[in-house]
Amino acid sequence: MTSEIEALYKPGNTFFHRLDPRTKLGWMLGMMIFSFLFFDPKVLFLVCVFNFALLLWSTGKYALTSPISEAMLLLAVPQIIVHGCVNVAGVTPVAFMGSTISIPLLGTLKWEGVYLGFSYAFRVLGVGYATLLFIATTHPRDLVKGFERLGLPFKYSFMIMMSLQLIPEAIRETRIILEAQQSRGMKMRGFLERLRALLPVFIPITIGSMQRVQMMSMALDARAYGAPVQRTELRDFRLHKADKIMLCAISIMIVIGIYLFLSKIL
Amino acid sequence: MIKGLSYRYPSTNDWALKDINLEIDEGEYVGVVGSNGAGKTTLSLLLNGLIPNALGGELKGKVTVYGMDTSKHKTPELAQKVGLVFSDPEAQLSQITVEEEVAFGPANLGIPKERIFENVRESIKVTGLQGLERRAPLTLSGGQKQRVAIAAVLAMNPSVLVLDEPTSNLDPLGTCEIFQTIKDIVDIRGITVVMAEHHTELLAEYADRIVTLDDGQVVADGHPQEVFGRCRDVEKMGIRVPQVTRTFELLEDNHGLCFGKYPVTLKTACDVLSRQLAKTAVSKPTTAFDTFGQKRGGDEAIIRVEDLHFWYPDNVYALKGVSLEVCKGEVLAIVGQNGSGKTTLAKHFNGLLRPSKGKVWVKGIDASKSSVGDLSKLVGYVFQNPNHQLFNVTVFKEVAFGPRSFGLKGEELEHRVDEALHVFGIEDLKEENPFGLSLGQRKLVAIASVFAMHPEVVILDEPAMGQDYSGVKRISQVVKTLSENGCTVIVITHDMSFVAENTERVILMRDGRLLVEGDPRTVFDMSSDKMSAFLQATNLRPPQVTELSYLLSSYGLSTNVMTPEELAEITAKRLI
Repeated sequence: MTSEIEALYKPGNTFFHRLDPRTKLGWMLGMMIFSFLFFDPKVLFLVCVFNFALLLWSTGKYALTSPISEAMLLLAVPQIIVHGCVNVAGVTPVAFMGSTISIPLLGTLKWEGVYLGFSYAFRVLGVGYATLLFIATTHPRDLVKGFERLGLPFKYSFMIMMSLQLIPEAIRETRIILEAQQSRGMKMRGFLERLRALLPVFIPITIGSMQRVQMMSMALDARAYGAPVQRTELRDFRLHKADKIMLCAISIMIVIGIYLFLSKIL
Repeated sequence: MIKGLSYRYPSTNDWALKDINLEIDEGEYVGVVGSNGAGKTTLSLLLNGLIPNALGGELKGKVTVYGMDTSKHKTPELAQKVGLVFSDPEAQLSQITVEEEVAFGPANLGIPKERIFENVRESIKVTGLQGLERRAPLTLSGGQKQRVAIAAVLAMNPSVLVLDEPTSNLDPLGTCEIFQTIKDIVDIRGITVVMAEHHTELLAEYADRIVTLDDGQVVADGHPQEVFGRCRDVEKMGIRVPQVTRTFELLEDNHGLCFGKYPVTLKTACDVLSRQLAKTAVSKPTTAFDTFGQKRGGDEAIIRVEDLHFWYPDNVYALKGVSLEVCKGEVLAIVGQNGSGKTTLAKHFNGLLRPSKGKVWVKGIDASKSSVGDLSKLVGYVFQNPNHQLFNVTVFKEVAFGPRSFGLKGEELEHRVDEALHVFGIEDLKEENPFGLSLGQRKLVAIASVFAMHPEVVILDEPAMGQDYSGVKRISQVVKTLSENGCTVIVITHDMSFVAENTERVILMRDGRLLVEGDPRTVFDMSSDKMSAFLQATNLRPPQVTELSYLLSSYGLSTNVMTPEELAEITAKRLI
């Protein structure tokens, strides 16, 4: 059973799944920087389409069905209308079959605003897809390992990993306890009933997790966790060829982006 | 190794272990048995220094492991000498892959990388986990998880392996896996093993030496035959002796037949009895036990299941067309390995799960159309772990919780609770805090709290798990009590001797399907090719005496024996 925390991750073995988490993180950050260097909707459209294509390639139809994708569309589409009507850059009204388009409370739709609206919409989508690409192809625990390799001390990454493991456990326990109490006639219909159900569920969970933590700490002790010696690092810290190529590509994109950005300003 | 040792936990008055003297030689396989609370876990924790280093408390005497005083060395240091495996497989696992899990310990010790890889490969091989190296430990089966936990301590190259009830959370298949794995480790590595366990039948077969603990003291210590052979003393301590041994005890006590020392394994018991039976001429086979002798239930169905299919939300196809009738007043057992669909099926009876396809009728009501709350008045469900249920400060309030939710108040409520406490003989615990009670008592409180709702059907999910011998006996009594009070009882269990002794009908499940149903005598009868094929397919072993009677069937013994008493009786008839 997958837990909520892992729900965004789509297991697979594509090019992106195999990349080092650091590379994917670099890709995501690079895409963000790049997107904010441009206001031209055509460029941002390309970034958006490119990342969406990569996401489609790595996770299949999940690119469309993921709750994040849906949320992003909900966020992006209104940008066009809101900016179209409200943005101060708007001058020329949009004419449709000879008449202008007005929206109550927001005003008349204008070309310049729509143009900017598209920029914002594609930026949201582009950055969103790049982020989802990172999250959907990286197991949460690999993600933590990635941060560890970027310098997060083992103690902290280990703590995060343990909580990642405890959360699904706690969710599973909670389900069992809920079922156990419902079997004893506990009702969960209205707000009051749910409030009354707090104690019967909360107490067993707390006591259970306390016992569990004690058990885990003993098990860790028995495996010499925290021994006063330098821990052996087993993971390979080197990046693979594909990682290097991807990191190079994103770096070049950013350099070009910055060059174009600066040349426009100066 | 252990000298004049006494120990008590911090802020307690009673000594958990009292004046223990124990010397374990290199390469020995020692089984530690005793009732819950006798001190098995405490002893395990002492051996690798978690007591007193991590848990504190007061310690008299000395534990030395290979000359190291455990109270003077830190646990990480001792971990290289003594590997400790706990009963809960999940609480011991923390890494992404099996490989990394196994490498975790040696990496903590700062062992060079190449040697770690070598240790990991070797540990994975000896525990039979090849091919699973890249899997996430938490996605494996119970037995596999526990084998990962064993491999993980083995990779630290300990000279002693201590296991604290390693099979108490596993199904029969997982239990066999663990015993086999330990045997392989002993054969290949010659490692010393100290294993606390309730499965005395398996320990008798595998261990070289048995130590019994009772109330913190070592009472018996010796070869399995010597220790288990003294049936009466061992049973008095709340330890179950192997069924074959019990049979020989009964033969002597009730029929005056004695053939030297009591055998403790199936094989030796079979040898001894075959020799004796061979001396008598086979006249005619003993009459088989009447298969309908124990039936208490009527014919009226209280639960009817029609072609039930169920998919979990993550698309796991858990029930694949189950049809079944549960008769009013019967005691029914549902058996099968973990993942076979037992619990999923039972959760349909009180509405916790709704059929994806098919129908479930409870007393003529469509279970998919009424709420869990309404159905819980008809069908009570006692969960495996009482800790998932108990939350009140007194036993009285705990038991009152269910009836109160139906609107019962005042004297009527009090009467209902008193009645439930009385039925299970726990009146004197009425004002106690459930969390201060033993596991066995908590279980009784949980059952009483369901019984107080006066359900017509009571489902007991793994009631015997984690219980010691006296706990299991108590549960048998509970089943009888419930049945006498007019309840239909459904027991989900891994304990086949419990099924044989306490239930009238058994359902064998595998892979979401109902393989076979019948009374225990029919289902456990290995002389039937059909039944032994079913048992093999589900990896279930009938009770030890039933197996013995089958092995002796060439001497004309009936093969549907369920208890040591029955086997002793028919054997005596043949021999006298």
